[in-house]
Amino acid sequence: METLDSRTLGPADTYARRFSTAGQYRYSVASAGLHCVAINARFTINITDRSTATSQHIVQVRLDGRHLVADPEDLEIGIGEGVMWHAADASTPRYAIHGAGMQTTFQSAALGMQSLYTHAFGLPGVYAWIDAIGGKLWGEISVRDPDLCAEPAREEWVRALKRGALVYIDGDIATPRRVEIFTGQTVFWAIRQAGRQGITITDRCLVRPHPTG
Amino acid sequence: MSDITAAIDEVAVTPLIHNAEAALGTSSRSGSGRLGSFDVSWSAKASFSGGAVDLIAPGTIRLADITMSYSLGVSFSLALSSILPVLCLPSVCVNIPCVGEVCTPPICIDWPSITIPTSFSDSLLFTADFRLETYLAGADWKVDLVVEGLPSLELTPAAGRLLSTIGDAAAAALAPVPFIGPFLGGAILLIKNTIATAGARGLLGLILTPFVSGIRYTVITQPRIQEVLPAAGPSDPAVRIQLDAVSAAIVSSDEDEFVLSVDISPA
Repeated sequence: METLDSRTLGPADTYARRFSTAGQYRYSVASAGLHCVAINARFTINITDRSTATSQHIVQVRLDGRHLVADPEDLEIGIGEGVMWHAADASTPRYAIHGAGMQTTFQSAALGMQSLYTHAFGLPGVYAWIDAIGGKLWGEISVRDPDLCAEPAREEWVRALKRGALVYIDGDIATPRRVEIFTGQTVFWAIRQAGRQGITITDRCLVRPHPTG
Repeated sequence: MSDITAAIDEVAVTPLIHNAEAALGTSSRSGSGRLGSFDVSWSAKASFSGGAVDLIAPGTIRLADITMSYSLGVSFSLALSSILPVLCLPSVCVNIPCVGEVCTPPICIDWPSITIPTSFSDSLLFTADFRLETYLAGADWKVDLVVEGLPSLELTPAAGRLLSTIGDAAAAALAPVPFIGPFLGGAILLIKNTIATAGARGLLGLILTPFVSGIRYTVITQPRIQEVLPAAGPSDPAVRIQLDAVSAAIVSSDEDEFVLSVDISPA
């Protein structure tokens, strides 16, 4: 099932964060729905002042027996470099990243500054998304199936799959608010500013209306 | 020479048979099998009605244009990976000011296995010959019509309709599969072409033939012991007879008749 919700990361999602302060960060990979359970933060990211060959590091989240693990478990990166987490395959349960270090915390369930969430859209439709934590942030993604009957359309679609749509988040403002893409294309939400609580990118349908209306 | 002989013509036999059809009610069957790359399981219900009676000496009753009404629930299961191409979303990169280029890893889609549930109801006409079978079952004599051979079912028109229904069901089952959109039309066409009218006809034959291969209508049931005079008092008990032998046949004289011959004795 297609789910647009940065609180629980699935195979079509990634979460990334840029680390600007040297030191050690520890984090856990938790099954979706266990946000409030204290989980042993067994994975580490060491930020050093030695820059590495790449500015982006990939961590795969996979199931090892009954536990979600990060691969690699320990990572050493340079200041200003980023880490991106993604599911190993479709059998990986939905998950969330929770971490802390150097007097800061980071979590995929509440996106903060210098973080990034991506989602590849698999089904056509209009996705009205909001911040489930309660901010005024909103936007809309229109996804349509390409008509692949004609060969040029097929080539156009294959080319489009390599193009991402970028949405900047500055507080309560998303730019652009509306994005149109083909099925299979990826939208990047880059968080430039966010409140202390962080934000989420969540399909409005998944958010329960507040009891007071 | 029998003690009792009863004869009725085609007009009088007709309601006996139609009542027997109604008494048979609806039969149910289920099963499973394989159709090309599909695993198929089904449940089916069928009932019979109507049919024009033709008595043919010495022992055949032909029913022309019996209506077989049936409803099917058929589930087709298949691994989508067997019909869809491998799809890997490529690495996607964007350039974010002050951050630089950020790229997602390639994502390869695991096509799921799906089940296509299909409901289909229709009716068809067929003609069958029945033989007469007379037997004692417990305390009753019965006369049954038992279908002879395997009646031929004309399934091609229904197969076309079933295939169309499968196409609609496939569209509904496939639509929610993420990333299938660009391949949806082709996948439905492939599923329909894989089954094809011949496959649908074969499937219908497999499901429906068992319903007609063993049709047996009980048209007459009579108690072996019958009271012919009630008791008139303590010293005048009821008079009963016993049906010792019952036989049924089609006799052709000036017209064809269904003839029942009975030998009796005091019970």
